Amino acid sequence: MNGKDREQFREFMVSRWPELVRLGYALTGDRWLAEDLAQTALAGACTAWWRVSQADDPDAYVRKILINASNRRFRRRRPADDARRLPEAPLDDLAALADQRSDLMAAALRALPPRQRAVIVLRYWADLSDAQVAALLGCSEGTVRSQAWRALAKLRVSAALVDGEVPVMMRGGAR
Amino acid sequence: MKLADEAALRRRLHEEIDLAEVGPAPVEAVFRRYRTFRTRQWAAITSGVALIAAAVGVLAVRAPGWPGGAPPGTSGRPSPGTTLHTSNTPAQGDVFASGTVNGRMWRLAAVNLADSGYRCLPGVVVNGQSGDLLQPGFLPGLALGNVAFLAASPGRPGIGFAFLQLRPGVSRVTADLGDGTRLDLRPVTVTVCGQRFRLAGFEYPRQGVTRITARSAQGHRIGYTPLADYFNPASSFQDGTWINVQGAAGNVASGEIGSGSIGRTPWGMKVTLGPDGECFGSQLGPAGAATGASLCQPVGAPSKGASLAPIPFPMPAGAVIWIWYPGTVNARTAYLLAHLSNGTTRRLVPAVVGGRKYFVLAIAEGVKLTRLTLYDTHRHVLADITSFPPVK
Repeated sequence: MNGKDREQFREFMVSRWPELVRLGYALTGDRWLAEDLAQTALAGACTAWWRVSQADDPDAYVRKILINASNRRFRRRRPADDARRLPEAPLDDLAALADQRSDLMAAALRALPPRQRAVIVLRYWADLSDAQVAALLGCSEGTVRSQAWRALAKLRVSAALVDGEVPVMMRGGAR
Repeated sequence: MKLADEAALRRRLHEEIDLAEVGPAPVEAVFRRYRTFRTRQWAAITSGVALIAAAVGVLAVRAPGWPGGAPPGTSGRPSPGTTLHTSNTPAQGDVFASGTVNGRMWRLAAVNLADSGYRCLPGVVVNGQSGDLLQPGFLPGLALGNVAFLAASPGRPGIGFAFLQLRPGVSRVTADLGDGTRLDLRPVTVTVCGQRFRLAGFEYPRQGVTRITARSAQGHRIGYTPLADYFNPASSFQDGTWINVQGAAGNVASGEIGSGSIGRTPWGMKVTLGPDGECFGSQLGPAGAATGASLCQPVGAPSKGASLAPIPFPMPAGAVIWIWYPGTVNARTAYLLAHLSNGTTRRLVPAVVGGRKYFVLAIAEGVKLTRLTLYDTHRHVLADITSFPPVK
């Protein structure tokens, strides 16, 4: 990679970093892992920068690396990775309540199988079309729609996604 | 209302994810990974298919013109980024390479880097310290295995150490050094933590290493790894830190070592043991907020007392600097008391990650850590520390 490419890639990296970390976070629910995935995706893009920089949609290329890395990690995952920490003290203010709701949302997403989770995140957070999601996940548009339907069905029955008051008793019976 | 409709789900996802703060892009870390990827690709391209069962050598053999074969010795110098406050005995283990350079002896040994009584953590140390973890597996498609470098140990400017964790089938390795020297190495089989590893090691000059070539028992080349990029002046290869060029199987262990709050802002610190060594990462704010400062360093020998690595952490507003003191403690430590210059005392309970006992203390800049006392379960003092590393 020459100096010009390096500078071009640096600009790309700096501008895409926040979105990639957020995508990683949405897929994994883990902020540290999200940064690790974003780094992996960008390093992969750097390796093939001559190709990525000339692609119609460089973002799609990087997203795909990140999603693949996330899926590989899921296959290697150990049960301890899923251990969730419950609050040790009663939650007695609105900020804590908001955090709790955020955790519940992340937990509900994490409870989905990886492909369903990816479909939900790409469709409803990244606002990609079914065709784009299908290209990223390497499946048909019909599969995207069926996975989305199943995921939505699960999210609907999840108490974690009730808008409004959060059922605090669900989180360790603190109150 | 339940999220029965898609618009509501879209709104909730944006609420949760878009508001998360993200720190600046870690440009250098990404470039370092890129160099690792590229080296793997080169090695994969050049690696042969036929791997022949190898006879196992006994010692890493130096090429003519290099001093070697000297009895092992120890330097007892601390790793960069870590200050040892009590007499940490250098880790003992199976020596697989040794030598003398500039009249000073060195040795590379395979050891257990975990505290006794916990899970075993196989690694390699230089003179009993500055450890690097042995990889639990190999990346597919690579003929050689893992290549690890430690540049410029403290007190030894211009000298680095390398070890190779070799796949079965590699009977010989040649290392081309930047000064034109070629080393001929034969792997040594060592057993640590009940696992057998085939290792070779050497020390290299300031000019670095240009290429490692794996050979079969018959001397046929079965793959090589070009390395010149790691040693050019523009490389982000950091002195005093191990770099694993073909580190295979990801992180060995990871876990939170402490958490708390600064005012109403939560923080946490995590340690990860893997190809980058022992990496501490701090987090300020709720889930999804920006990851803050981080520090990677070699994995030290198990602490007899405590070791610390101060990490300054600027608050988002930039008005206050917080200093994190993550570190390891003696395996018998049940709790620590940290005495601060403002007259307060904090009680800390260590956490075990990867078979090693860690703790972390967060204090605002201006407040000094004056004393750190380690206690066992019977409240007996294990160590009492009164001098601490300066914050860089």
